[in-house]
Amino acid sequence: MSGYRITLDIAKGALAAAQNNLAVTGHNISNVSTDGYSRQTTSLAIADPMSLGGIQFGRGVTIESVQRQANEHLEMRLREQKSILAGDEQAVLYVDNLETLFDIQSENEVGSMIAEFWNTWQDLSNNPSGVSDRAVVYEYGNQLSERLNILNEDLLQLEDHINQEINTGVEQVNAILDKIAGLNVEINLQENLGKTANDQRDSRSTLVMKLEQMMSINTIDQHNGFLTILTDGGYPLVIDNESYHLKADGGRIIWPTSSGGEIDISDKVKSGKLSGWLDIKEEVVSKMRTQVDTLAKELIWQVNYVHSQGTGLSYLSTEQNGSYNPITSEGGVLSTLTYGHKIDYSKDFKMWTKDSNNPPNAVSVEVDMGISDTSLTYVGGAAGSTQSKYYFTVTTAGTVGPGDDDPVITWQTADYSTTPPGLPGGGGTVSIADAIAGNFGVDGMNFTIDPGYLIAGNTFTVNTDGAGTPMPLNVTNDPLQRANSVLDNYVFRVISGGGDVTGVSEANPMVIEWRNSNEISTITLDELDPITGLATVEVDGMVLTFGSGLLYNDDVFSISTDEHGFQADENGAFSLETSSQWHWTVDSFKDQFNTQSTASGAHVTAFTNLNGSLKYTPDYGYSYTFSDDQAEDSGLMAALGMNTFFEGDDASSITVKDTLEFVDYIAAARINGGDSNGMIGDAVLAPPDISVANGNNTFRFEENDQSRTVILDTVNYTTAVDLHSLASDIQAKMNGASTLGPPEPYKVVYDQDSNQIVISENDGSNMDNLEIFWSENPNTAAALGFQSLDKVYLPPFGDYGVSNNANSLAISELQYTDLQIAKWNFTRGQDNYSDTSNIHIEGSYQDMLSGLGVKGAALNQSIQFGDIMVEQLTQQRDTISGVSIDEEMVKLIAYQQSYTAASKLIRTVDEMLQTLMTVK
Amino acid sequence: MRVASNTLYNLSTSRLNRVKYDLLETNTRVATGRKVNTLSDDPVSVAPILNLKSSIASVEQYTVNIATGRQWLEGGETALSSVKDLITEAKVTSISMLNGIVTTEDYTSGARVIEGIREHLLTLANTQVNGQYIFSGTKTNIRSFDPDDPDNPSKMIYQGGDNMFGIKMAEISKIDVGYSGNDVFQTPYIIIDETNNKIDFREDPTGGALEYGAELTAEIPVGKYSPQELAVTLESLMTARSAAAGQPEILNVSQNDAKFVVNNYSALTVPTGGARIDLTYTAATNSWAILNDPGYVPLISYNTLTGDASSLNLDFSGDSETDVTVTFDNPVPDGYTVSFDISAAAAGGNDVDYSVNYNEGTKKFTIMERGVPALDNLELMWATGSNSAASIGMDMGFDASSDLTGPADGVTHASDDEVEWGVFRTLIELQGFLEQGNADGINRSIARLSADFDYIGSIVSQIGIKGNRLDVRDNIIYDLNISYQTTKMRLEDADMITEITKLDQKQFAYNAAMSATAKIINMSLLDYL
Repeated sequence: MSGYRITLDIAKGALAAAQNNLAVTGHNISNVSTDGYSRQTTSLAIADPMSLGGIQFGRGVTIESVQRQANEHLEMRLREQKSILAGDEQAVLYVDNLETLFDIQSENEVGSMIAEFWNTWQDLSNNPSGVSDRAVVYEYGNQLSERLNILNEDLLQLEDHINQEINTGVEQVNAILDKIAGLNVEINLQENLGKTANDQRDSRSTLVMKLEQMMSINTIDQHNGFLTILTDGGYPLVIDNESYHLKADGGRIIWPTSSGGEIDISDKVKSGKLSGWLDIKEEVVSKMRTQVDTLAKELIWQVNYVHSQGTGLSYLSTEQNGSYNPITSEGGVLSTLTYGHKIDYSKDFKMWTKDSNNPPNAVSVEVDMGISDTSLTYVGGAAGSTQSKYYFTVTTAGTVGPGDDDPVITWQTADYSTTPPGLPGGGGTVSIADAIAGNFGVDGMNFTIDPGYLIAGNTFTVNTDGAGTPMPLNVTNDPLQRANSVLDNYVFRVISGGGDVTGVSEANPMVIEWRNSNEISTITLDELDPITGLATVEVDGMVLTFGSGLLYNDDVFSISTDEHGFQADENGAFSLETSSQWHWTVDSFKDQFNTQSTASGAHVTAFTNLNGSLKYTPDYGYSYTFSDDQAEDSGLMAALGMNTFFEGDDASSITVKDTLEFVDYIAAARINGGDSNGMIGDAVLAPPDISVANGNNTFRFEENDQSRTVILDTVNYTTAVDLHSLASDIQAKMNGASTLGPPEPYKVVYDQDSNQIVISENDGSNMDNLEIFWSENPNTAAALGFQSLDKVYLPPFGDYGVSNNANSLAISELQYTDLQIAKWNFTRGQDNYSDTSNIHIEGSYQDMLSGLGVKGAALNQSIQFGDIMVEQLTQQRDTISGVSIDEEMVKLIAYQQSYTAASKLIRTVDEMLQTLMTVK
Repeated sequence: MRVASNTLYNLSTSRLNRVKYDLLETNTRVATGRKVNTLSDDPVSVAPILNLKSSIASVEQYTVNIATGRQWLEGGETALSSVKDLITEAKVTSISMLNGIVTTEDYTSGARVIEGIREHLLTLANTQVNGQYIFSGTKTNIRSFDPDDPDNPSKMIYQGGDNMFGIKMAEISKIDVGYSGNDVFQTPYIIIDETNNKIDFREDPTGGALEYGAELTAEIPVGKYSPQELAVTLESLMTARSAAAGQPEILNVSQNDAKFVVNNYSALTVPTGGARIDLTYTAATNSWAILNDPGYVPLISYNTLTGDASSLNLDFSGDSETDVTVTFDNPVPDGYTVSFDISAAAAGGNDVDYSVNYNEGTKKFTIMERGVPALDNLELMWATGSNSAASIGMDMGFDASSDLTGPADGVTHASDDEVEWGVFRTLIELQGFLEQGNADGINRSIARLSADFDYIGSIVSQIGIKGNRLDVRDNIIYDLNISYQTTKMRLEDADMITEITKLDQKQFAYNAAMSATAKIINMSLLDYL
């Protein structure tokens, strides 16, 4: 090729290069503020030289490639920081929201309202008969309840809200994943042709940045231009050209498997908005809601326990229904009540009743709420009724052993071979007389019973299998395992598959529902451990093994936890309560109460409602109230919701009992218990030194100033259990000598816990004053544990004054009483569990708010730090990838000059040609 | 180092934002005056602030409670001060009735005065504050006291309750500010003095020919007794008297403070010619001499009569053992005379073991024989006894106008009436005595009134002490309130001066940032091309 042709070629090349450079510069300039844009630079190369007659002539310039200035590592670090920041920013939004719910400056804030609530009780104490003070207590109780209801609602709504955000977020993630897959395809196509797809890579980077802001991911750059995206934990989201969508289900993030299964990956998302939402929802909002529930529960129980022991301006004259009901199967086992595990069976129940026409003479009914510690053991024989349930109830209390006080057990059967179970079938009574004490039979079954005291009203049931063998339930636990919820009661109920617990299998599973104060769930017994042959399940941190037993549907058992979460009672024994151990049910209490009420002429009858709750109905013209300032109350009425202040069992259901709308019933007063709880022995009795013989077996007493003499049986009492017989002998002899009955005026019991004899009056007694002249018979006195000083007992009348404020003062004292309150720990990805803290109610609330504040402050700090990190990294990235207008401007000028110069070259060659053309 | 255009803009934006955020924060603090506006502003202070809020509410409540308490205490104090005045008035009236020249009309008008005082007292006992009877315990809707018979009352019946009304003035602390009328208007103890310290009784032993033996008298030492203590003391005294063989007594005839201790009763014999002995002290010889001689021959000789200015020893039997010792509180002056009488040996008893009981429930005393009965009958001589003027019977609830006879075994001699010691009882009895013109009774009532006055006085001072406690507590609460408020302010409130200064600073910084941004944002190479 001749010279000028080369030059023109070169010029053409130069022009093209300049034009292209300009285009790239123009691209850069126009994208100066585009998010995620990496500036592009051209890389120019020398064109291949041409050889002409042995001489190398350069052929100018070519554009080799357009490169994208980007540092992948920097991009990745920036992405990570942005992800964390995004998560924190979302979290702090919700924390701010929560902080306004708990605005510490406001009067309507729950903490202030609780404090004010206690104050209304103090105001009532200053003027117990004041109607307006009572109205204020009622109104404020309602306001506080509503506030808690609303708080709970708000927290639930917040959770819902967050769930919706998560759902939307997952949809956004899916959209991004699709786009990324699409870009993957484009990039792969482009780069197969040998060119880097700069703009698509930029777009893909931006999308990945957006994706990581939503959730944390791992990316792997493939050599063929594809980008593989995996979740934390390794589940694929984008592989090559395929994107795998996530699902959102009730606030959980699900990765669907190819076989249609679902894997919950929520806990694996470590940063990003989704993580922020999940964190707040699970570690803050849920925790606060549970903590507020715990607080409400504690408040309800503590106030109710004190309130149920008090009296309003007058005795109750109308029918009253309990607000809590147990699971109704098996007679309504008391431990299935919401607060059933708080009942203290070492204390009692007491009711006062009055005849409105004869007010001063009030009658008291006192039911011993103890639980016998001597149980029946089955030793052999087949029951007459197969596949049935046998109910045993102690209808007459007494001692198994020597003495005349023989206990009587009444039994009944129900046929469980049909569904629903048949009506009560056979029945009978067994009197554990001395002759059969220790061994006796019921309907073909043989039992042994240890010496001990049987308390009236105790009941237990036993299920018989097809052969008539009784099969009581036997469950063991791993004592080292802690349940997740402390100070709680787990109630188990068989909902399907009832049968032999050692016969469960996949084909024949037993499903048991369990509930505690926070959740309801189920466990399924469907396999037997190959070594032990028994079914073992893990329940909320506990490990239970079902050793033996036959359970029908609806049978219940319960396990309570102590302050560390161990399943132990105060003696350290396994806190399992099954129906095959002595226990109380609402039915058995109702029957025992009615028996005592009729015998004492109290004129109040107890009934069980359909839903299992208790009801008291007074006869016309009679009224009643509960407990007094000397009685030790077991908390039974509080657990049944009778004469209580609050109803409900958590923050969403707390409300004031509507019978209190008649504010006279607000119990500010306590009945006068009188000076004593009976005549209590001074010394502790220590068998086997108790020997009642001639010379120390008589004493004299005066009832209502009439003198009477008592001669006791001469018996050698050798064990502590026998002392129950001694007490009943004293009672029988005193009642025999008395002329004040019926009903028999005296009740003498041996208190096993304190080892003392207690002489007091029986329900409905007509005795007005009792004096026992121990000084006349010092030997008898010493034998029975009394000092040889004459003692007087004046039974209380069940009266009280209108300005009696004993109960309202007791309620106001709850404000600063330290209680054992569960404190919850929620960590995403782990089970929620609680610890116990010894603190008063307001203190627990303040702790909770403190925790929220700490979280908020921590988040704010994290955001500040995150901001700075992102800023720094962005700056670094921009140093490499960012467009500088000034730089581009200079380049523009340079390329322009280069273009001008190239054009000049053409012009010069053109002129040269022209000159050649005009030569003649 | 390359600086991208975006970098400039981004940095400016973020700096501006930061300054604006600070400005917003400072502004909030200035506007609300607090530096802790939300939980996250200072999470460590949140718990103490909430705690203090609660404590402040509590102490304000205690202040209200204390005000209520004060009302009750003041009501009681006022009423009881008036009661004290009334008692004084009654005493004065009674003392004037002891004058020898008093006539029947005077007695009658005196009785009317006492009746008026009693009715006034009843009104005071039924004091109401805010419509509530403060002396009825917690039964504040019931009148505290009412007479059993409005026209002719023999006792006041307390209708109120026994519990006292209390208020709460600290976290777990209640103070009683109410009263149980029983405790105030009925005295739980009785003062025994010479007007009511004797009991006369006669024993009728089984199988004896005599119906009743001689009169036995037991004397209760003066002092303060609760009903139980009285029962115990009386029981031991009656038993001792019944066991005593009957001894002669020394009666101090001269009106001085000589104290006699008899070491040997058997040496005392009642001389035939009258029993009185007069002895005189001569300072010069530091010895005593008999002024008259009723027939104590051994005493004439000097070594049976020894002594000095502070004591005197008499040996009646002549066996060189001192039978009677007389002591004086202060050394006697020259010419001092001691005179005493020796009374005949009192009659002996039948060695009966008595049992005297007080029943809390019925508020009655019972006197009876204990164990195997040795007597057929026991007579309590309230009306006919020689000491019936100073008899304890009335105070033990017995009808003092008649004797109580009857078998001593099985049936107890019980009080006719409930025992009531208190100002009402005293006034009713006094009125009775005045109407009868019974000077001994009036005397006795005066002693009773003094005791009642003292008792009510002690109650008033107790009220004063409680009032003091309330005042102290009130002051403490006042200080606590201030201290809580101060601490809360310190934790919560913003220091306005600092914050306003900061606000100025931030504003300045904001202005500077904005101005700087404005300057650089406009700069571009394009302007120069």
